[in-house]
Amino acid sequence: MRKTEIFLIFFILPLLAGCWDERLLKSSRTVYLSGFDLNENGDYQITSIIRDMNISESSRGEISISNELVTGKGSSIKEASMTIDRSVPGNYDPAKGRALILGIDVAKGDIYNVLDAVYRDPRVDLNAKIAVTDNSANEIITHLSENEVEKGEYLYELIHSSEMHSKLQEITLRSIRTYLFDEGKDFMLPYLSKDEENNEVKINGAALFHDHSFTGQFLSPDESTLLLLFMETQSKKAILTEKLDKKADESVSYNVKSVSRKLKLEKEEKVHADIMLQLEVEIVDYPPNHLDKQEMINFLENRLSEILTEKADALFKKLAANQSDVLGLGRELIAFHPSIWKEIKGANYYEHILVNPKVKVNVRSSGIIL
Amino acid sequence: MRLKRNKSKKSLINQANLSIENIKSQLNHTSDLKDREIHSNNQIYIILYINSLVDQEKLESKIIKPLTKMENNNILNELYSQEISTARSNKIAINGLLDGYCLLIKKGRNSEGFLLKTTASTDREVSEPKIEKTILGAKVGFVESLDKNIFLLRTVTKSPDFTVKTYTLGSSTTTNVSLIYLDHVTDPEIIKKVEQRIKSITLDSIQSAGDIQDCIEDHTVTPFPQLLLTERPDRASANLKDGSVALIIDGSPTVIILPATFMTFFQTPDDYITRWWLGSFFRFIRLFSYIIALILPALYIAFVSFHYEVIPLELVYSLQSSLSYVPFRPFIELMIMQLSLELLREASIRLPPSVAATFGIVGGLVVGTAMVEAGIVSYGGLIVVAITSVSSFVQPNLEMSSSIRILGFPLMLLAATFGFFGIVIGVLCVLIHLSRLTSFGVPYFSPFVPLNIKDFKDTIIRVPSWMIYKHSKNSPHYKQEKRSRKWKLDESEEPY
Repeated sequence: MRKTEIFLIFFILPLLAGCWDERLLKSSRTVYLSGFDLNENGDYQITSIIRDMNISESSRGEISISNELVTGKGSSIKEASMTIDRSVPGNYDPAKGRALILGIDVAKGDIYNVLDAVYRDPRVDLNAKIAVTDNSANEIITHLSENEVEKGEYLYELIHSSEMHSKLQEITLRSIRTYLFDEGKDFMLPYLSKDEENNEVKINGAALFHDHSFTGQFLSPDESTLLLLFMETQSKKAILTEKLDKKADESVSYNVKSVSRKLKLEKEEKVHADIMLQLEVEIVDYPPNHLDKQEMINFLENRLSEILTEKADALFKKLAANQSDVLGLGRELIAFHPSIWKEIKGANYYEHILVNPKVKVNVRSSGIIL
Repeated sequence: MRLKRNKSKKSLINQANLSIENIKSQLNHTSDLKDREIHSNNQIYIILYINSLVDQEKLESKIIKPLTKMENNNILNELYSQEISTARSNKIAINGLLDGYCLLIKKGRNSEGFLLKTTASTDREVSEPKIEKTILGAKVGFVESLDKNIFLLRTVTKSPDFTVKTYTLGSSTTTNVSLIYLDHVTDPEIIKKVEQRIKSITLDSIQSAGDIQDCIEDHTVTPFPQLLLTERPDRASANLKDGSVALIIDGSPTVIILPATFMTFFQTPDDYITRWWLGSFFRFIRLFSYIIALILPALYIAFVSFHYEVIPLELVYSLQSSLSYVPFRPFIELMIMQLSLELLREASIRLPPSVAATFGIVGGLVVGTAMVEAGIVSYGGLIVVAITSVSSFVQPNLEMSSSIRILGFPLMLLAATFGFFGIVIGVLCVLIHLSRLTSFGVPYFSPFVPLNIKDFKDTIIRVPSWMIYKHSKNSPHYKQEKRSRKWKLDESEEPY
C-alpha cells in the first residue's frame, strides 16, 4: 500500500509542475540566417531568413525551397524579435541560425548590446559564426535570400572554409564572449561585403576590434594569415604567396607547416615586445625550381625572411594605429609581467607597447618534387 | 451434486480388484471402448481397448493372433508386445487404456490384467522448424510427441548423464511432462527448484507450454520472458550442455529451456556454426537492433516535439515540410502508425501463405504511402516505424521481440511528455527492472548485473569455441586452447 502511494506521488508530481516545454517542429519557423542593424533613431532592426521546404502534392517528392525574408524593429533586440514573432505564423525560432551578421552601425557601437539577448536564449546554437558587413546587414541578407536559395548554409560554409585556410580567426558565438570580457585581448571577425561586379557576397578580410567595437579598419586575408601565425593559431593549411623580385615576375607559394614563437617583453620607456617567429615551410609553387641546391634554399629563406619581417612591421603598425591587441600582448603581460601591467593598464594600454617583429623562414620541404 | 459424483468415482477407482463392468462405467460406457472374448487353450481371455487410441494392425498381429494360437498358458512368453505390465487396480488399468494400451484379462477366479502396448502413432514426420529459421543449422524441429522429442534431443546429446524425469500433471485431464538435464553439468539447486515448482502445479489441465511457464516463472509482472521456448533440438541441446534444464510437454512442439538470462535470447545456433567473427557481428547487430527498436520511436517524438535543434539543418527542413501537413501531434501520429502495423502483423499470421504476399503489398506499401499522401502520418514517422519493425523482426526469439512492442508504448508516452528526460527515466526504469529480475535464482541481466567480464565471451561477443571455458561440477575449469589447438604448437616445431 505504502509503495503504491509513493509511486503515485512520484507519478503525479512532475505533472503538477504545470510547465510543458513542448515545442513542435511543425509549428516552428526555423531561422536560417539573422542580421542586426541599428538605425538613426537608435532602434534595432533584425532581418532574418526563414526557410520553407515544400513537397508538392501533385508531382510526388519534388521539393521546392522558398526563403521568406522577415524584418522587425524595436528598441531592444528582444522587442525586435517579438515584432517578427507577431508577424509570422508559428513560432519564430532562432535556434538553428548558424550565422549572425552585424551591420556596420551595430559593429561600431558596443556589440554586446546585441549579443546579450542572444546569450540569454538557452537554445541558440553557440557554434554559430559571427560576421561584420561594410554596409547594413539587411542589404546582405536580402541579397543572400534572393540569390543563394538552393545552397544549404552558404554563409556558414563561406566563413568556415576561410578559417580552414587560416584566413580568419576561428571565432564562434561561444568563444567571442571570452575575448569580449578579456581586458588584455582583442579579436577579429570576418568582414563581408557585396561585390557589385560579380553580384555575390564575399569575405573581404578580417575586421579589427578594439574592446567591444569595430575599429573601422580591416586586415587583408594575407595580413590576417600572418597575424594568425604570430598567434600560433593557424589551421592545417596556411598558404602564402610572395613576390620575390619586383621586376622579374617571380613568385613563390609556400605552406607553413609549423610555427615557433619567442616573445620577450621588456619595460623601458615603453614596453618593448620582441617577437621572434620561426616558420617551417613547405614550398608548394615555385616554377624556377632547383630546390635540390642548398644555395637556392638559402636564397629563398633569406628573401622570405626579409619580406615577411617587412610585412610584419607594417602589420603591427596597423594594429597599433587601431589599438587592436589581437595578439593578446596584454594578456601576456597580465600573466607573466603583472608589475608592468599595473603601470600601463587601462582602456588604451596598447599605446604603451612597441612591437618589434622578426621572422625567420626555414624551408623544410620542397613539396613532392625537388 | 457434481462433487458427490466425483467422490463416488474415486472410491470405485481405488477398488483393488479389476472389474470390467467398473472400468466400463468409469469410462462412461464410451462407444469406442471395445472388448473381445478369445477362447484359447480352454481359457477365456477378454481384451479391452479404446478403439480410437490403438493401432488396429498391431492389435491383430501381435496380440490377438498369437493369443489364439497359444499352446500353453504362459501369456508373457507368447505375446509380441514390447511392453507388458500387470494392472492391479482399476485406476492403473484406466490410465493405461487412455494411453492407448490394451487390457488383457484372463477370466478366472483371480482376474489378472496385463497392459500391452498397442499405441497408435500418429506423429507427423520431423520437419524443419517454421519460426526459428537458421541458415546453416540443423533442419530438424520438435514434433508433438513426447517420446519422439526425447529421441530427437538424445540423438544430439549422447551422454550417460542425460537424465529424464517424467511427471504426470493435471487433475482432470493428464499430460506427461519430462524434465531433462545433464547430470554432471547442471546445478543441483536448479534441478531441485524446478522439480519443486513442477510438483506444485495443480491445474485441471495443461494445454501448452504456456500453462507451465505461467506456473513456474519467477516474476509474472514483467514483459521479459524468463524461460526460453524453442522448437529446435540443436538449440535445446546446446543449452543442456551449458547446464540448463529442458521441459518437454507431451503434445507440444515447443520445449521450455530454463533458466534463461537476457542474453540467452540473443543467441542462435547459427552463431556457433559460422566463424566467430561473423557470429560476434550478428550478436552485436541483434543487440543493437533491440535497442533501436526500443527507443527509436521515442527518440523521434522527442526530436520533433522538444529538441529539434539537435537535428542537422537540412534534415530539419525536410522533416518540417512533411510534418506540416499532419494534423496530429507526433505521439498520436506514431501511435496510429504503430497500431496499424500491429494490425498488419496480427492479420498476416492468420492468413494462408498464398494470400499473405498480396496482403503484404497492399497492407505495407499501399497503405503506408497512401497514409503519407493523405497527410495522416509524415515521411519521417513512416521511416521510423518501418525501421523499428524491421529491427524487432531481427530478434531471434518471438517472446523477446514482443517485449519491445510492450515497452515501446510507455517510452513513447514518456518522450511525448518529457522529451529526452522522459526517455532517460524510462530506460533507467527498464534497466533497474532488468537488474532485479531472476530466473530460477540466476540473475537475469547477468553478465552485466552482476558484472562478470569472463562471461562476456559468450554473450555480447562469441569467442572461438576453444576459448570458452567449461564450467561443471566434476571437471575443473580448463583451457581448451592447450588441447584443441595443440596441433599448432606441434606444427610450428616441425623442421622445414
